Amino acid sequence: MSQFDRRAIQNFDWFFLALILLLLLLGLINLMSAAAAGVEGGSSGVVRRHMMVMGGAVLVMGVSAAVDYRHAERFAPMIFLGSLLLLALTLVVGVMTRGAQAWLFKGGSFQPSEFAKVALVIMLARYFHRNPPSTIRRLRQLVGPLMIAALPIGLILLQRDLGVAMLTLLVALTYLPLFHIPLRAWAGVGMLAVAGLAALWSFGLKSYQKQRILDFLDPARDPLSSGYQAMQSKIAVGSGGFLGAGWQEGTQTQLRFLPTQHTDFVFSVLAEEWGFVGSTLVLFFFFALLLWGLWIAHSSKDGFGAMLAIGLVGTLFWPAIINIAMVLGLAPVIGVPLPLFSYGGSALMSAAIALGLLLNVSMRRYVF
Amino acid sequence: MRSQALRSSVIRVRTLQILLVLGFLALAIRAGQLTVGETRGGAQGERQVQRQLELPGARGLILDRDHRELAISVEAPSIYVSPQNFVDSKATIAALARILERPESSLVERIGERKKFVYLARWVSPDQAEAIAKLDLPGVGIEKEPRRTYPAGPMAASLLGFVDIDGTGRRGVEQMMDSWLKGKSRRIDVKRDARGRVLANPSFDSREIAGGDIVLALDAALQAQAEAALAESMESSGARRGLVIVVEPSTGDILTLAEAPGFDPNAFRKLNYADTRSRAFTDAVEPGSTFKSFLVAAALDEGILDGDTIVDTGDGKLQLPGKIIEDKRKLGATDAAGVLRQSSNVGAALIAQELGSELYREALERFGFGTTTKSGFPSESAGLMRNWRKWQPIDQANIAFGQGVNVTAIQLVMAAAALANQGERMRPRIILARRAGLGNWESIAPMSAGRTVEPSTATDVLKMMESVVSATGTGRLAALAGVQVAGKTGTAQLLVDGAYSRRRHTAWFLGLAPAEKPKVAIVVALEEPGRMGGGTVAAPLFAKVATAQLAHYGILTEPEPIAAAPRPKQPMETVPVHLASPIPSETKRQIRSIAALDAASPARSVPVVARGPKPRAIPAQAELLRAEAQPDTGRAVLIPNFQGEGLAQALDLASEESLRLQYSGPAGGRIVSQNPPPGTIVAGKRRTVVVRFSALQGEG
Repeated sequence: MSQFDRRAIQNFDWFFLALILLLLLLGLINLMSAAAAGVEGGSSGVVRRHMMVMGGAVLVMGVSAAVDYRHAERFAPMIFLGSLLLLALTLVVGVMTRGAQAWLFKGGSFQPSEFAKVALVIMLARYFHRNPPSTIRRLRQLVGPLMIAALPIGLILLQRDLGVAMLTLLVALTYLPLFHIPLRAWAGVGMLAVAGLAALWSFGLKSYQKQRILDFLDPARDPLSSGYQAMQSKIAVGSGGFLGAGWQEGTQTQLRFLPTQHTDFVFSVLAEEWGFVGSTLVLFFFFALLLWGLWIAHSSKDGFGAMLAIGLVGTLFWPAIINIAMVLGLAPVIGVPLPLFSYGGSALMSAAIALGLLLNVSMRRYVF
Repeated sequence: MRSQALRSSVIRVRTLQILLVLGFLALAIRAGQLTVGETRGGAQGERQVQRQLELPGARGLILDRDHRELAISVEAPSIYVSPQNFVDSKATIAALARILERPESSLVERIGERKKFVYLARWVSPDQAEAIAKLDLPGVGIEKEPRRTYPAGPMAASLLGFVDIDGTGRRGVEQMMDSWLKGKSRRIDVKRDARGRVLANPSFDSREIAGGDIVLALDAALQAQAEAALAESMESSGARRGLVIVVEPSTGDILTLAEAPGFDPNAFRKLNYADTRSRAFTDAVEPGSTFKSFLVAAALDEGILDGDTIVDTGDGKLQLPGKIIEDKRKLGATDAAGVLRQSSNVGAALIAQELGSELYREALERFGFGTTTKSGFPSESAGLMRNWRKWQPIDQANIAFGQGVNVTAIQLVMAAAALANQGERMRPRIILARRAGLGNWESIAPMSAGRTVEPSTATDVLKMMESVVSATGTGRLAALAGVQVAGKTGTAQLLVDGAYSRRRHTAWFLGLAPAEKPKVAIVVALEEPGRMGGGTVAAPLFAKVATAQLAHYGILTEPEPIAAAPRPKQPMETVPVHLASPIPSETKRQIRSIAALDAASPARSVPVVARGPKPRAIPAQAELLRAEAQPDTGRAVLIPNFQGEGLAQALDLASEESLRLQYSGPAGGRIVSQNPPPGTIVAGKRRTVVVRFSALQGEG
């Protein structure tokens, strides 16, 4: 199994790879426009760095596709522990940026929480391989996986990065529909959740976090400060129209009304410049990619591969859906990048690992 | 071998698929709603990008008569901050403070205003702008702003004026022609980015909205020479202030207007506003003996006097009710030319008496005294002439030699130019030509202000004034080599605490050259040049200025002071000067002093004395002097302009005019209003001016 199987190459998932590369290419084109105006001190640096990261990402994707994914099951505890150690290290020597201590090294060059999601999915896949979801019928059976998930989520919360912590929780919750737990049990969980959220609002949230949630509910409340991004994003998307303003022609984008347009709000650039047609096309490509990911899970021959694929789809689905919902004014502004589109090395690398592993599972579906 | 775990979960994977579809469908619907469904976003976006911008046209040029640039408009960089993007750090502030040479605290204060857009510093040097551009700080930008620049610095500053920070002309030609020079501002649609920067200007010819250009009558080369000569005279004499005005008699062109101390209009923010006025236009002062020229001209024109009339000044003393008028030297019997030549106060007073106040007043009005010259220059003073019906004999005598009458230097030079222009007085022509932004030059024709005296009278007066610049005249230091000069000196004592000072005076010289057909009329004044009078200090300055001016007309000459003639031991009591053919003394008209009347006809003295309030015994001289030292509350005073002055200057000004200053509130900053307004004439006991200060400090 360790040697490269000929059948794996024969069964290589070219369609999936093509989708990945298409999205990467569209992301690059869009970023070139967003960075052209959006970055102080010139765009060439941003675009050049992004292309370098992209090259690295393709390489990483190749590696994570090549090495048989079943090694990952064996090394899962080690990988998971490694990610936890990196998160802990960030707490000790991390760099404070934008209110969160989430980055190792200066300038936010390495963000362990991005990789922790993938590591968590590998660990949970191993757990659910050994304890198949179909056998989980009681709430108390969730204690084990919840404890596993709680470790990285807790550490991310300690970094004061609530957005990423919630995102990681959502990734873990991707497995939820697979369980065979009766609905009435969920009623109790729902009540608990409401009570928990109420407590969080009263005691746990910082004022800027409450601010953002309030801004989400009413962006025009304070158009010049924290609601500014949400409002400018909606204005930019709205300026797009059916066909869009054209590449590098979006006035809102090119005139820098929208802050962080090359990172978290990169989709608004797309919407303004490519309009309804362009943005729904990209949405469709994402949708196709993730649906294909679920098909990979479905067609996987072993439980670990299936569970891994479902979790990996989760690591891509949640940030994508939350980011775009945020840009479209359907979710509060939280610092979640759009996979394959936003500028940022760690997010792109972790997405590359996830996609590589999905290719890995896909090409080995006939191996045994 | 499909995984057992998953197989039982197939239905569940379908759940995930459905969730995926629903999620993306929701996003697609929302995207459609925002981009296509709602037009609001687009409209809002349009609104925040499209702005109407007020684009000011460039201010027009001011050129001298040879089209040399005196005032131009350039683009100067200004540094601004948009606090939204600005990264506030100690290092940033320190770097900006270092480059802009401002204290850090003032920068913090400006940025702290939290406006969308705030100027940190306006009109910085190109070097500073470049240094700041190099720092590449977020939220710190550089914008080009139009700025008025005067390439020649302080040259002719009082005539040019300056332009304030808002682009409004202040003082001088800048204020006078403000609406002409000012560019038409045009509202244009432009795109602006989030920082409010203008992205693209629609293209159009900027000359369409540029202000009009003007050409001054001023000759920059002659101006520079006159300013240098004036500075030299000020230096050597220690004078406090000085001015030189040169006018072309036939056109009224102001060829030169040099005033000292001057100022640099480029640095107007550091200037005291009051110091930027052109005193030649705005300040009415006593002209001293130069005024005798116009008295003689009036008397000649009215036939009271001719070249042969003997004016008997007796022993050089003339007793009038309340005052004794004295000459410096006994002249005895002389003629009109002699009165001018030796500048006899007694002679002038006698001529004025003979002329009578009504005719005298009318003549002075024809010469333009008491009204502005209609130059259009801002804040031009009309001078001060009291109602002739109220003239006392002493007033009439005083005015004859230039006391108790206030005129502007510009009035004086225009009146002198009228004598040089065969009696026709011109309006001062400051502006020679003008053109609109895209138009052609249109010249502005010289304008007559009316006839003063008959041409023959003017010729006669000029002839008499020639004798002033002769070996026996007071103006002999004004003489030029090979060119005859007609002139008149003046030494006007300054009023200090209501009395004429014995030490402080203004030295005047009024000159026309060449005397046969004058090309230039020149007035020179030096305020408080120590002990030196008009003939000693103003006349040589005239000669220097006139040399350069005449060279411009192709008349080459140089100053050639004439040595003083040995003084005759005996006053020329019985030797009339111009008696080529002796005329029997009965037919010859005589004007005599009271002192000389003892033996002659007493009847002549009667009307003179009768004009006084009541003939009374003339008190002893010592008593008289004491009475004079008292503040002369009876004298009418022209309320000066206190606005723009600080407290100290205002108090000085008030005491000079023996006015009381009253103010309420803090006396900080500058005076912003006053009552009565400037130019009001007050007399009697109402001598209080109420002023109000601005509490504002520093520059605007």
